[in-house]
Amino acid sequence: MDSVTLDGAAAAWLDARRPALNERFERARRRTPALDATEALTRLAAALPVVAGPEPAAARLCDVVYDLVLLHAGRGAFARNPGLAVLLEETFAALRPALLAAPASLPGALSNAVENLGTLGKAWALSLPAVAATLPADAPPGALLDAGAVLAWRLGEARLRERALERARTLPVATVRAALDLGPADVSVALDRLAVDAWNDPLAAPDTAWRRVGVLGGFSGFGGPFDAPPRVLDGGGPHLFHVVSAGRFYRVEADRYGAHVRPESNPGLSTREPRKGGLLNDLFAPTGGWAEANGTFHFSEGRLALADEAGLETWTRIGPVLVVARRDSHTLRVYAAGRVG
Amino acid sequence: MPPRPPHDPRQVSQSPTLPGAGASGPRPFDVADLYAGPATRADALPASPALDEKMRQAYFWIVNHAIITPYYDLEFNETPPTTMRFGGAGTEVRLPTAQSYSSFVLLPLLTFASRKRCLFIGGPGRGKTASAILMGLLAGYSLPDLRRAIQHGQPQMTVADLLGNPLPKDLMAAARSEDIRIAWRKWLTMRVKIVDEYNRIPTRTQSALLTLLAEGYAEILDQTMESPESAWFLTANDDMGGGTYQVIEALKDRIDIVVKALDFNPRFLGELLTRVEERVKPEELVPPEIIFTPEELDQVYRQTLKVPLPRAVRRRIEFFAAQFDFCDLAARDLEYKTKDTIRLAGKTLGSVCAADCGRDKVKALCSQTENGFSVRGLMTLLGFAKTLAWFRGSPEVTLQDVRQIVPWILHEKLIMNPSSPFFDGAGNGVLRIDRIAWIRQAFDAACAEYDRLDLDRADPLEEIDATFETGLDGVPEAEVKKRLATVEARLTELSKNTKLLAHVQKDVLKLKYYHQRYGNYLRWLQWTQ
Repeated sequence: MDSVTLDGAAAAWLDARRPALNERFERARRRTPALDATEALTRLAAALPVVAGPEPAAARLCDVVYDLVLLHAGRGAFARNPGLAVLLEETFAALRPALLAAPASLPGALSNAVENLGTLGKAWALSLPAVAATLPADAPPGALLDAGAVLAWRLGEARLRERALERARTLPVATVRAALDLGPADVSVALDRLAVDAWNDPLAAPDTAWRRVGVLGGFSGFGGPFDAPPRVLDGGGPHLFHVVSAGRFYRVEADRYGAHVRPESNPGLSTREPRKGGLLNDLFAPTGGWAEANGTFHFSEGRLALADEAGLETWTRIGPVLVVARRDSHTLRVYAAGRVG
Repeated sequence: MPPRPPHDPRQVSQSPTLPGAGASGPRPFDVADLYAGPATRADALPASPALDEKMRQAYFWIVNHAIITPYYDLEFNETPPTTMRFGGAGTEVRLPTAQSYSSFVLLPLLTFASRKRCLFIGGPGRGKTASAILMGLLAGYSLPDLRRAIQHGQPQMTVADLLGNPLPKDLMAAARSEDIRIAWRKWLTMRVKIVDEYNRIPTRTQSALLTLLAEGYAEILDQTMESPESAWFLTANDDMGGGTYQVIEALKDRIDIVVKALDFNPRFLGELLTRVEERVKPEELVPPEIIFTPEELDQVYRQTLKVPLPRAVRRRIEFFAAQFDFCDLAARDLEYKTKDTIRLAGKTLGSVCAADCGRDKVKALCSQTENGFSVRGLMTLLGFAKTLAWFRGSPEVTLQDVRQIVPWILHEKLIMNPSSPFFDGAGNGVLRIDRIAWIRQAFDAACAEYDRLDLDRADPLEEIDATFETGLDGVPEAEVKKRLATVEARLTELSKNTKLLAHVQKDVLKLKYYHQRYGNYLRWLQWTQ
């Protein structure tokens, strides 16, 4: 086994508890036999100096970080999620004061968030310190967690939209600005725009013309969720779509910041397919309009020509949001006509 | 509590029993979910499971340790199932791709959760009474209390045996009947009521049972006692109501769901042997973790009621239900074109259906039954569909929930017309016997027709419904006239473009209703001016 040298507060902490820490390591190895001592030591050498220190709470914080390292090393989580190493070695350094205020709960909560965010976890861990720096020094731990939720939404965790908007209204303006990357814009106006329609650009007045606002999904071979070109089902909501691909049903929650796709049971929805143009279709238009295969949509308020959607296979419109799928594409294209409230 | 070894009959399945299931009721992804995960405090106590999870744990404890019923006849799928066909009569075997359930265990649990009335039928010794007792144990009653509280049907059972006796002292001394106090039977206050072999109860006593079961109160000598809302479990050996006494129609009609005791698969004899050798009595080993308090049961009931039923699913139920009551040949007037008209005239559907009504009698679902759905039946269907969705941890009722539950609800409520030409079709003869398959295929056929008519998009009443739901308050005369014109135009369109099919009759009746409502309102507006 390679040896690892620590000095300073981290070394002192380890020395004072060596037998107990060794026993905890052995217990962890019995629970998760894959726990590798070398990897654990390497991770500890990087993580402990970040949090160790003379403060009374630092010892408890080191305890928690020690257990976190064993937990993740035993489960192979560091390899699966590079964000965890970033969290322990960089983010914790920046958040040390907040961690010292809540050593029992905050490190674990942040670690869980990185794992739950999956591929977004690393970006979240890297961005969190800048957002946290805008919080007042005496902010409770809950404020950091709320800010982290808003940040997670902006980075692409679309499922958090409603809760993030609620929490954003309770945070300091500077924190919301940082979490949502709003620059100098009026935060309240930006949040109102997003609340009305999260396909809106919060920094600009809503554009009521139809425009493409998102391309979702992708081929599973390139990291996307769909094995086969998806067919969009007719139903859902402005931020919730139902899709079938290769015989499996999926629930897609999406907004301007990202999309979350997960399998679901058959929602019992049918598809809406293009029709041939003509007078009969115009006279007996189905509720909600109809589409031609060349990408022309006929709505009660007028016609919308989307040449890029020629060859469309299925589509759905929910209010001001239009979702289109083509036979030759593994993505869904989302169009929106901005709402003003 | 430390975990028990897997074969310990008191072992409760680990959570989650249904990975990916939502909590009871609609539940968006929360901030708490973002921060929840494996990195928790080692000494933190696990939170009490959500109640739907607890009910699933109860289900799995029963099927794993209490009742050997390795059947999965309530099939759910996330992807199309693998199917294989066997020769002989041509049987299709499906391998479900999502968690599926045994009707013999799940349906009583749903009855327990939704406070409905369940009848177990089947031959003797198949676990009917044992299942009912398990439901009582899950409600927290002790085994001795339950055994004393079970009402055993027998030909000498009197109303007093069932409900209670007047106090002899009061009987002698009272000047008025109101002064006679009644020693009510204790079982009347229980939240799980069990009546064993209800078809052995004499007719007069059945009437007293009916009042209790249907109205929720018992009456003796002008004294009444209110019984709390409860789940009822009745058993019978013969589902046709035979036995020592014929079961009165009103009592049969109050049964919400019929559960058939499935036969025992001898390939599982080893498990029975273990029970014999180790003298295992599951009813004495119910783990405390799956016992529900009265407050929890109240909460379960409230949660099940709140599960939303999406419009798309509701419309399919409406379409399905519309297929059965209608008979174009039953009357001249629209409102009376129902099978009730035929029955009240003392005729059968077969005698009327022989005439030509312009429909394909093989395909038309209306030819298959003598009756339609009652309001009670529809309400039971809605209640059970919600409870099933709640049990499965679904945020809303799905079409699969309805499809799986509808045959059990209608099993005793739909009266088959065996002379329908449908049953003479290839492979359909068996449906005269297999009512579950018959009702399910009828539901599938109705859904297929619904899709063919594209009624999700081409609902002729959708906009008119939505407009009406905005209300009439403050609507000016011009707008009312416009709405009346819209209703009339839609009726004219329907009359020109389609036959009076079953679902069209319902649409027309509703349009007539709207016409009346708007017309009455218009007359009132004009009178007040």
